[in-house]
Amino acid sequence: MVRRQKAKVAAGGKRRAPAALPSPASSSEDEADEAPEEVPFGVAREAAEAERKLAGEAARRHRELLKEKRRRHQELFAEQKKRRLLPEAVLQELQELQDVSARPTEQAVADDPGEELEAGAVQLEQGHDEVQEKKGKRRKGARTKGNYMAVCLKDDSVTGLHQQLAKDFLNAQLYGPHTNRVQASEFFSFANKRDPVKKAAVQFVDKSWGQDKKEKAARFKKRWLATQVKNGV
Amino acid sequence: MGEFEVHRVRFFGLVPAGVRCLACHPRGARLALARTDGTVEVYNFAANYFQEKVIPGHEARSVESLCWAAGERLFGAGLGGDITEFDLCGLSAARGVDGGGGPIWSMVASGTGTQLAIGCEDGSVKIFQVVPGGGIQFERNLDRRKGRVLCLSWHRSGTYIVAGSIDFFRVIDVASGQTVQRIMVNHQVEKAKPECVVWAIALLSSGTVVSADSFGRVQFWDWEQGTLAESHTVSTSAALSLAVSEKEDSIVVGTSTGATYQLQLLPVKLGGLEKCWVRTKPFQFHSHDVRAVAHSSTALISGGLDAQLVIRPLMEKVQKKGYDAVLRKFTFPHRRLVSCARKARLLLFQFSQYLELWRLGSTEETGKDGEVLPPCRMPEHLVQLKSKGPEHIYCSCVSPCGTWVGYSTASRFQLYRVHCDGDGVSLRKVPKVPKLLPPAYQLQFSADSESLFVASARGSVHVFQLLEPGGCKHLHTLQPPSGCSEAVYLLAPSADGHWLAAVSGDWAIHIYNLKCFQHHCVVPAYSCAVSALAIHPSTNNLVIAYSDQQLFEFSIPEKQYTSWSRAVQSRGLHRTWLERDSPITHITFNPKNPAHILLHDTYLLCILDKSLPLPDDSTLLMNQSTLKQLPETARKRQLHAFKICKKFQPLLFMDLLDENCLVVVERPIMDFKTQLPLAVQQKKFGT
Repeated sequence: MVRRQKAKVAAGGKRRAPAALPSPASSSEDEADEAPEEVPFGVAREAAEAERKLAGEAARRHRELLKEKRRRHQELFAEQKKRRLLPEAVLQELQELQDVSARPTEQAVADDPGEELEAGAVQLEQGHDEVQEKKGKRRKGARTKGNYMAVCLKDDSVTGLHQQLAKDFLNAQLYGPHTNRVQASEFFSFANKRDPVKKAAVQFVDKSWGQDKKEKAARFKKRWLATQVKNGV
Repeated sequence: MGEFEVHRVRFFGLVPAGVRCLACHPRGARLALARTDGTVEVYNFAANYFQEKVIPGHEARSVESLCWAAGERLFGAGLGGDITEFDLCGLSAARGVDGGGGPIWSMVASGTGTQLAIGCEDGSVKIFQVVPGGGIQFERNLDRRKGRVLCLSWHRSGTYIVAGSIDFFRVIDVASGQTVQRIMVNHQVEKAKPECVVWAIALLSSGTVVSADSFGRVQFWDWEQGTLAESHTVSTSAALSLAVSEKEDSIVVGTSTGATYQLQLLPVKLGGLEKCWVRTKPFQFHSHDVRAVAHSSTALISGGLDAQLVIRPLMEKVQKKGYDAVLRKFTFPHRRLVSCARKARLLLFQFSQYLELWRLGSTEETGKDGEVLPPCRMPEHLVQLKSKGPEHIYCSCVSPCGTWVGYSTASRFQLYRVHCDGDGVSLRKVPKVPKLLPPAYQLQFSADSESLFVASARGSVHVFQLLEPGGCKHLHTLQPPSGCSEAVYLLAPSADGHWLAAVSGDWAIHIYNLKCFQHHCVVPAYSCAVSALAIHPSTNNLVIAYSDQQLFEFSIPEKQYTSWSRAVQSRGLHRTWLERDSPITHITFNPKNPAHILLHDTYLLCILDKSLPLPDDSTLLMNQSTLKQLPETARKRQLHAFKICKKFQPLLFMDLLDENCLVVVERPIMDFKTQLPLAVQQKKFGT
């Protein structure tokens, strides 16, 4: 009885989704005698389409998500860029200023002429010292208000990073753990040890030993002398 | 010699920067040297290895490679990613062109000198054209591979470039730009060791590639076959630099331990045809890494991170037996870094980015010869003046009265007023200093501290008048009559304020009359560079010391050499005097004794007494110690003009404070060696 029911269920299942369900072991002997079930083409096609649609929806949602993320990132970068640039009004004035007067020679020589300038953008953080210093200088005819001079500086944030990487590589290769480097005192003391007249090691006494104790002693001495003077008087 | 109380100053904390790269001029007369702080120096071999030009460094400049191109033009490239041309007339870094490949590790000029190839951090090798008028221009990129290009070598014919990288090197065909061969360098070493860095490489005209790597090996490769012909392990630590001679039969290698080795191409059997490379001479001149070597036609040149430049002539190449065959070691610059205010007893020390003003101590005791007197007042460090900006200082000076201090960098010239009230010292900047085209190459105050002379480009000298309480006015600009392309590097005003002598880079000495601001005369031309000059306070004779150790005395009012000078020249200077290693850097006089001239170089100080007879080659030059032991009568017979003291070494400065007081500034080498970067341990037997 149980076997029959199971077999019926199995058969029914097969009709609905022919590829999906594996046939249970108990009904295998029945199926071996029977011919495979007939499944209409339309049902299978619909099933496949439904599946494809599901997959398509999932992919589209995924793409939308990525697009959204990219858009947000772009906005963030644009925001940051805008924040780094000066307000529009100042930029306009600077442009006029540049057109009117010649650039200061010393800064121009230091700049890389190949670097791109974004509408006379000035990096205020880096140029702070320079701007501070140029206060007081006035150009005739260019500006009457304000007493600063804007200079263009090289944008070297990326080159600085490259340079640092290069220096790190050099340091690691020359002074890394596998090189046999030794402290200066040890290195130069060999000569002293091997001299016919043996001398003390170079840098035998390190002046930084007991630094805090020495400072405390100095402070105590000052205080003690002050009290002595007070008592004496 | 006379009895002097000597202020022995050893608190000048100068730490010279290490030598990073060397470039020998193709015709062999000059050597360009770059240090780790960006300073570029040029040594003139013909002028007795005198350091004739110095371009001070820059905080952001790192020079990894120097080369001479298109005749006399000097180019440098570094980790900043720029190729800079150095203007040797104006003593500054002229133009910078961005390489476009990140930090540049190496640069090499083609055989013709019209092209430069650079090896960059991103693994590309780029070719630049040297534009005849000035500057350089990007030509093209050669094949780029992953891995930073640490060293380059261009074949003499210009057909191939070999680029050394990490673990491999590759050979590039210049015409097509393609890599034709790539050879792995460390496949024979066990995997446990770190990567093998090819630090230096050379491509010989026979097609052999010589590589020096971080395992201390010098290997000879046949790049066409891709085989290793010979391998020499010269050191346990890295072999950092390589230089090949002109004839390609001798190679010098510098290592991390400070040792340099020479490898020579010698026949296997005497008189045979087959040759092989043999490691012939080991040298240990340096204590720290030797990162730069060069091979001239007669000498092996090495520069180490211990700031020493060593020139070792090869005996078989030296033609005549003489002082040319002697080892030369240079540690300290050939110019004055200390100025002294005699009356105020102040010393101004010039470092690369700041100045220090010290007041000398004093003592009230007296003692016998050789005794050390305890000071009753210690020397005081009054002020440390930092220069603004990343550029290094060209020159500095303190006025004789001690109240004015001036210095110049590549882009600014600053003047300060010093006030010492009681214990405190204050510095006030002088506003509205006259604008002049920076830099100033030399500064000198007049003896009465009322004028300032500024040496400038094109042989011109500016005269400023110093006003109380703190102002400065431009009076006049003195220029040589026939024009000059080089900058003035030495100045000497007379004590009465009447004359000024100026030496420019073309070694011509011009004398100007300061009362009417006219050119007075030119000292007759001499074939060597001037290392020091000074005008005598009472006789107005100009005493000149040349870099080949010759001494001349020129009378300014009479416009001719003095009779004493002629006597010296006809007699000839003593052989020991002419064989000295270092040039005279300062000449001064004793106001109370007009016949005395005091001069010093790095290893001795000398009081020249013109009233005494000159020594000839048979007598001993340094006879002070023997004279001390002789009785009075015998001493009078043996006295000669040169009174030399070698007690204070190495000397950076010497001056006479007053009649019986000398100040000497020494810088013992061990004092700064402990502040240099770490050195490689050298295992010695028994330690």
